[in-house]
Amino acid sequence: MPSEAELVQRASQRDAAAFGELYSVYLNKVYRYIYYKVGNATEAEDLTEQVFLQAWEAIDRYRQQGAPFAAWLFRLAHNRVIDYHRTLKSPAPLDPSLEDRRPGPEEVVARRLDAQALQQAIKHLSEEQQQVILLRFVEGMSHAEVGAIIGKGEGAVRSIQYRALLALREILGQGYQG
Amino acid sequence: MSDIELVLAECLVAIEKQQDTIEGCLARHPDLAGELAPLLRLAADVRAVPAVQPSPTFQQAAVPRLLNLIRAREAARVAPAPAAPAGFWQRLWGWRPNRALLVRVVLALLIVALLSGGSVATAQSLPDSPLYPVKRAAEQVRLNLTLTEIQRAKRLLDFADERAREIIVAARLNKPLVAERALRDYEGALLLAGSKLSQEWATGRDVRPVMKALLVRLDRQQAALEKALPQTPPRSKAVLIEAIVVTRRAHERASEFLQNNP
Repeated sequence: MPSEAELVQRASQRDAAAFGELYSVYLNKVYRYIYYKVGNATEAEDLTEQVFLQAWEAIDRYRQQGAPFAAWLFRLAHNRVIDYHRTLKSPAPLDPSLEDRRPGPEEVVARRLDAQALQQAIKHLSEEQQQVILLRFVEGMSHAEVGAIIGKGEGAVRSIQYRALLALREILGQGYQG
Repeated sequence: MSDIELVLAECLVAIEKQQDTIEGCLARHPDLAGELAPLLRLAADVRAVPAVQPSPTFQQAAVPRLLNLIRAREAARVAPAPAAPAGFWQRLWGWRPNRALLVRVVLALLIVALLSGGSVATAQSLPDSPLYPVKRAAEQVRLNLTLTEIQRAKRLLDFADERAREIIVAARLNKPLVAERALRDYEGALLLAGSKLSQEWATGRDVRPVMKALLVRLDRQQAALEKALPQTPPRSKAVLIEAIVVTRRAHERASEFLQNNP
């Protein structure tokens, strides 16, 4: 089984099969990150594919930057989502099941969190706070890894994490009032 | 960084590594326990949210699809550009433009149009306007910048919206030939978008949400065309009626698709 570094090395030499393996490894992670940002499964699938096509086009530039591959990929995903929101004419989600609403406190207490409630809640956070919540607690990355993606030091990530959890608690209401 | 930020971060890392528990952490920091407890529980709940995943059809088809797209791109990159048939350019200047140069020329024209305050005029131009080729070339550039077929189909639907607007305006101004030209392009954009979506469906992509959105667009276009009918001079009414028929046909095809693939 080749290491990630080997796969990246081969992919940067235009080895499509190696890039396909990297895609298999990161497909679900990148999809999940995008899904929470756009709230629509079909859009998330399309944007995920776009991110990887863009990654294939730009993998030479990644090699020159020397950042961890995951950090580079999530940065591409983040920028793609920003472009998507910028060009979105109608902010209404296509999935009728994902209408914009904040979950009521009783609802949250009753069923705790599910993906839809979390998606609805985090979109009320700032861009940085969303990134930290998703990367830290959904993707399970360390403070350092998150810092590499959002371009901040570990101390700054810890501060954003604290403020993000406070804000999320505020949004989700009673269930998390202590 | 404040104490609470640091303690929260330390507790979260220790809990992640299963070296501590929420209760253990609160017991070690009794002075901060009141503030820490809800945040640690919330973080645990976010971590416990079941993992969201793409649909099984997307997952199965994802890697072969991406590899096909990549190979097609690589092939297009190394293959020499197909020679354009000797035509207008050669006859006029004995010169054939290459694609990259054309894109640059179009961008330069767009910049000039923007700087001269002509962007609104360009956007609202009709097929008989001197600015219309700039508008269509800009659309082509936007289309070329898309990465996936679904994105391309959506963009074509945006262009169909614009063609419908052109049909209405030209018909109201009693320019039936201009409206007719927009109508042909309107139908072409709808057909091409539909064909791209069908192809994507055949490769395992769930295009049903886009089809549903297409139905909403078509309803809106039909309503706008019907609303324009009474104010349109008689000579141009036939084009509007044909546009309504084209819209209904596209609506039927999209509805049929959704009925067959609920």
